[in-house]
Formats: sequence, C-alpha cells, structure tokens
Amino acid sequence: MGLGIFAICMTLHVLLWRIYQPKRHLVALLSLFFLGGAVLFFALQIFFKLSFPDALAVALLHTALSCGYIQLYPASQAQSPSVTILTTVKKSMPHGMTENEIRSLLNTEMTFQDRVEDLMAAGLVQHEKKGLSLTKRGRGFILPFIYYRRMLGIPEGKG
Amino acid sequence: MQPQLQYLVLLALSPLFMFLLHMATGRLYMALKLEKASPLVSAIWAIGLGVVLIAVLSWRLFLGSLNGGEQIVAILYGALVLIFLSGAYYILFAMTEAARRIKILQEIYRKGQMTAEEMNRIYGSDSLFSIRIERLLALNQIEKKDDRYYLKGNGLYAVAFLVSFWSRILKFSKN
Repeated sequence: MGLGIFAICMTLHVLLWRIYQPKRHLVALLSLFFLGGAVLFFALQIFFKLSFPDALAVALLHTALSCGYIQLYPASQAQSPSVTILTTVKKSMPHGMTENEIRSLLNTEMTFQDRVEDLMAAGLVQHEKKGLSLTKRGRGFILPFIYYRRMLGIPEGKG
Repeated sequence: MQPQLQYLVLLALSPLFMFLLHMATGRLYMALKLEKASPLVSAIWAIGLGVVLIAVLSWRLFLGSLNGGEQIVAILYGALVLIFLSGAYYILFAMTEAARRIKILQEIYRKGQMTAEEMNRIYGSDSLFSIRIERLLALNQIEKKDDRYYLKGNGLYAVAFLVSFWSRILKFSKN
C-alpha cells in the first residue's frame, strides 16, 4: 500500500510537471508527496482499517521513498556539474577529456552569477553597501546546515 | 513492544543511527589525518556501517523469527526503506558539501558580508571544477592519465544517466 500511495503521487507529479511546471518547485513537490500522501493514507485507513503496525509500515515506506526522491529531484531540475562531467566524459570514451574541455563545459553551462540571482530572488541574500549579506530568512535557512556540519566535526570553510 | 513494531521503529530511526556513526567516522578521519580524503568517503563508511548494524539488529529482533514468504517480504520491505532513507541521508550530506547555493550561503554566514567578486573567486568555475573533479577522483569514478580524464567506475555514471533521463521525462532538459 505504501508503494501504491507513492506510485499515485509520482504519477500525478510526472503528469503535472509535463503539463505545467510550478514556479515554487520544492513547495509543490513537498505538498504533493506529503500532504497528498497523507490524504491518500487516511482514505485507505478509513477503507481498510489497518492495525497500528501495518499503518506505520505503509506510512514509513511512502515517507522513505518520498524523501529519497525529493532529495534527488534538484539534480534533475538544475543539471548538476557532477552529472554533466560524468555524462560527457562517458560520451568522450575511449579518448577521454582534457581539463580545459571539461572547464569550458562548466563555464558555459553554469554561471556563478545565476546562483547568486536565484538566492536573491528567493529572499535569502540581499545587497548591502559592502556586498552581499544574508537576510533573516537566509540565516534561518543556513543555520541548520552549519550546526549539522559542526556536529560532524567538519572544520568551517572546509569542503 | 511487538517485534514487528520494534523492526519498524528501528528502520524509521536509521537516519539517526547513520548520523551518530557519521559523527564518529568524521572525527576518526580527522584524528587519522585523512582530512584530504573527500568527506563523502567518511559518510559512505558511516552509511555502510549503519546498514550492517541495522540489518543484524533487524534479524535478531524480528526477521529471524519469520518463515518462508513472510520473511522474504519483510526483508525486501526493510531493504527498500533502508536504501531510500540512507540514500536521502547521503544526498543531504553531499548537498552541504558541494551544492553551490548552500556553499555561498555558508560562506556569507561565516564572513558576514562578501562582494560578488570575492565569492566568484572562491566558488566560481575554478572552484566548481576542482571540487567536483577531486570528489570524482576520490570516489574512483574517473581517473586521470596523461592529463586526460577517463571514466573509471560505473556506479555514479548510472545515477547521472538516470538523473539526465528523468530530467527529460519532467521536461527540464531536451538533451
């Protein structure tokens, strides 16, 4: 049943995205898989009256599949540099690629400025006199990542 | 608590176990002066250890007491949940390690303010290139011979191929 709920959410996701891609991708995706998933789950619960362990098993499977997919999703939305490197190096086999060939590929496909503009549009970064700084929302967004890396013992600025 | 419930709770808590193991393997890497190795390698070790530990505990708590088809279904269920949750944990960590938007925000947080030129110097195409190449070399997915890069492993390439394919299904990319 967990697989079924996930399959329904995934089918709706593919159909919706092929017809109309929402502006706030991640919010739409989270709503579809978690709110939509919860609605389907409760509908099934009313119909089948699952025991607590069975209901937990269904919810856990749907959550695991959804978390895995949602984490992978940004890579398909904005072509990741690692994906670009691997797919083009594969195409170049058996001759391989030089450093300059790979660099030129990354230069043309992904500009740094685009990322900064994305962050400003999302309200995470703002222009100030001396340069760019974090907005309140930006600080709230990045702090969990900073604490997470501190807990792992990774020195700041490394990586 | 019923054994089935214990098994489900164990699976649900698997990302937490991996996080705790990751704290240990990350510090071990630092103590052994392996800082130059990609931090992703210590994450892979933590996830691998976590999966083995959870598999053993699951067997003792619940799976070992089942028979025949019931056991196979329960093992497949657990494997699916564990693969997806550990995959999600790995991607979350990789995101803090290399995603450009996250790196830019981290750097601004650390320094207070930064000019676009400063950031471009640190996270522009040069850094973009070296971080990704070092990581792919450390994970044995590519190799460098006579100043040329070649594909070595097929694991990450398979993921990259699937990601490109999925990108076309969702109409993000036409290539």
